[in-house]
Parts: sequence; C-alpha cells; structure tokens
Amino acid sequence: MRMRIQELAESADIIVTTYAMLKDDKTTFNRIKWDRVVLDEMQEIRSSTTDHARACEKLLCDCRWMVSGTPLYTSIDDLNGELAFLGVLPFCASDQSDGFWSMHVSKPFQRRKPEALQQLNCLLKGIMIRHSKSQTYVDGASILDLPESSTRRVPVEMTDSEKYLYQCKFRGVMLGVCFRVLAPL
Amino acid sequence: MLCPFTLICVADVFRLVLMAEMGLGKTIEILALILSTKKARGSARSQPSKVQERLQEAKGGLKAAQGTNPLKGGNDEQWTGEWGTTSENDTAQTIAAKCSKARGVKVLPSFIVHLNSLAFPSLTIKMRFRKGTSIRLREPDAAGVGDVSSRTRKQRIKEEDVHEGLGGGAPAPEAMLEDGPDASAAGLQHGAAGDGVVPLDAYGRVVAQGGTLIVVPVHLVSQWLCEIEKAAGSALSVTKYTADNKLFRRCALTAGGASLEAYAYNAFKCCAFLTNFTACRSQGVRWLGGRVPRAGGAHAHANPGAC
Repeated sequence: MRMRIQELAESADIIVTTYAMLKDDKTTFNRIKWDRVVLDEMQEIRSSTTDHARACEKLLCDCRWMVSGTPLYTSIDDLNGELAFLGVLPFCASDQSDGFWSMHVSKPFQRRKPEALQQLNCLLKGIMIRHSKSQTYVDGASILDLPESSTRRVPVEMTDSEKYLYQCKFRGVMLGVCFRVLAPL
Repeated sequence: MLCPFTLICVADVFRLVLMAEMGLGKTIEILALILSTKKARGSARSQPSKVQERLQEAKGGLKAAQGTNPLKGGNDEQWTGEWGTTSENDTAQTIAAKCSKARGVKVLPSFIVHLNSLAFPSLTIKMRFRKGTSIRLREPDAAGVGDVSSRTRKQRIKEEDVHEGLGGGAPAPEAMLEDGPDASAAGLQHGAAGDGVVPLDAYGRVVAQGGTLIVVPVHLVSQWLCEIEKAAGSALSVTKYTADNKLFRRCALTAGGASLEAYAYNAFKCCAFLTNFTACRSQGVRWLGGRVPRAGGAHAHANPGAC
C-alpha cells in the first residue's frame, strides 16, 4: 500500500483520500512532500489533540487550505484547534502550552467584549476567504449554477438475504404488536 | 537548531508586536521595554543609536545563549557538532525558513515582515541540525521582488539607517494582514512549489514529491471526484486504491467493529442477528467459502452467490 501511494503521488496531480486513511497510513503520507493539502470539513480536526488532527498537521506541504461551511462547530475554541493545521501562531497554540488564545480571544469573546471581535476580524481577514451562493463572477454569472432539482422514486427489488432479514424483523415487530394488543384482554 | 535564546527573543517580540497591533498597547513602547530589559543584562554604553542598541542586545543575547546548553536534557551526540549560521545576505524569508525547519514552526508573512522590521543589522542566528538532516535554502521567488521579505538584510540596514526608527519600514498591521500578494509571495507555509527545500524526512531519506492532496470525510469522496471533474472540464482518469485488507483485518479483530455489509453478503443469511465477524467466529459460524478469516489472514471474500 505504501509503495502504491508513493507511486501514485508522483504520477497523479490530485489525490483524494479520507481522514481515516490518512491517520492509518500517516507514515506514508508524511514521506511525501505535497504542493498543496486541502482539508474538507475542517471541523473534523477542531480538536488539535486528536489523531486525525495530528496526522494532518504533520503533512509536509507548501500550501495548506481548509474548507468548511461550519468552521465553528461548537464554540469559538474550535478555531483554535483548526488553526493548528495552518500554523497561525500564536493563535493556534493550545491553551495547555500557551494561554494566548484563552486570554486574548476566547475569554473576551465569552464576555462579549468588542475587542475580541476586532482581534478575530484582524485574524480572519488575513487567512479566510468566504464564498456564498449569491456571489457572481465579473461578467455577472453566478459562481454556483445548479440545475433544477428533480425527484424520482425507483422501487428496488430486495435481494434474498435482505428479504430474509426483513421478514425476521417484520415477524418480530408483528409479534410485539400482537402481545401488546392482546395483553389487556 | 536555532539558538533558543534568540528564538525566544524574536518570538516574544513578534508576539508583543502582534498584541500591540490588536490594540493591546503601542508597538514602540513594547519594543522599547524589551530592549531596556535586555540592556540591563548587557554592558551599558553611551547612548548608541537604536539600531546599534539592538545589535548590542542581540549580541548580548547570543553570548548568554552560548553559555547555556540549548538542548536542555538533550543528547549532544544526536546533533551535528557545528553550528550553522545565517549570513548578512540572508533575507528575512530565508531566516524564517531556517527557523521553520529547525523548530518545525510555521512561519507567517507577518512574522517575516516583523523580522525585517526588527532589523537586527548583523544578527547571527546560530543553528545546528540533527545529524543526517540537510537543509537547502532557496533564493527568494521572483514574485517576492518588491516585497519587504525579499530584500536582503544589507538593503534593509541601509534603509533603516535612513529611517533610524523602530519598525520604520514595516507596513501597517491591518494592511499587512489583508495583503494577499504579500501572503502568497512570502508563503503562508514558507514558500511555494520549487522552494528549494529538498524533500527529505527527519532522517534524511528522500521522499516522493506529490501534487495536491485532498482529505475529505468518507461520504464526500464521490462528490469531490465529481467536482474535480466538473472543474477540469473533462473526464478524469481515476485510480482507486482501497485499504480492503486493512479494513478486513480490523473487522475481524474488533468486537463491535465494522458491520458485515461491506464484505459479508451471505453472512446476513448465515447469522442474521450477529453484528460482526468476531461474534460470528466466537459462535463458530462458518462462511460458505471457508472459515471466518483470522486477524491478518488472507483476504477471503465470501462467495456472494453460494448461499
């Protein structure tokens, strides 16, 4: 597997992999110097202490991108863990080792101090690009041109084993119902 | 490895400057505070210029660092005997790259800009590396021409001499953070492709050079392939590499692990109420095509049509 990944890395322009795969084969992935690494759904690594986050952080690369529709999954502190991948010091340093984030961003933000927002603005302006569906190109065309959605219901024939399982479940449920109905009598 | 004292100094200054940018104080005052603190350690001289003052403080710091073991508790045998040094012609970007490599620290463009603005005129950053590690530093990109970080330190010193002010050449903090071209020229992660850093791992072994790696959750893999195809405008040649063996092994090893559906079409029929291979094996259930494979065993799919 390792050899295949390395061969693939040299021959392919783009490689799509999963977080689980990256974690399992981190030694292989770490031995490749990537031009660019893109993390989709970056909230997956919102805690910088998880194995997934550590595996991503150790990747050798020139450019690091993160993509997400929900960068703040639970709280503002998610950003702290996510920035660890980008290496935006001192914002990415964990509170266990540093305390900068907690002192200057997290706690002021919780106390609803305007300085916290200013700092976050200052940080995010430099590292974040936000796109929305309403955005257009210079010529006025929408950046997201989706066709009309259409829904079609296609009945699927169950296989033998699926039928077997279904029948078992069905009988179980029917028995349960019968007992409940008959029990008061 | 970078002399820790120097690094701490630079990092502290960087942090304080960053804090100052954010309205927590004034840059100049904080810098002055740092310098005055260091001055108390070194030899006080008669009113040198601010640039000279900084030089003296930097030298004082290096002397102090030389007197201590930078690898506290470390084993010197792991390290090269000689210290690498930066030269005066090094750009701030180059120095930052060295710092980055030596410490594993990611370097921001703002850090590089501030490294310039700090302007230690002949600051010699002493470095040493783990044995077997070789680092080749790149020349600044053509894209970086005109950027603060691409000027040599000699040029900066000349300009500093003219300005004779703390951080005189540094851009405004807001502009610095917003400035896209600066960020790309300096490289959020120390450089773009072909940055001259030889792809070696920590033990000096050559590694492969890859293109773009996209890491996605499992359920979005097919969507990404479609998106890439759309963006490329043509059909892609896709090679799929799966970790079947590994999944299979884990399936057999882990109680309550992966469900049967991926591999055991017939297992539903054989043991419809068991949830995993371990349970199957513990109850002595046999596959139609043979026994349930052991951990690390051969890749033995059941025959889907045999049941």
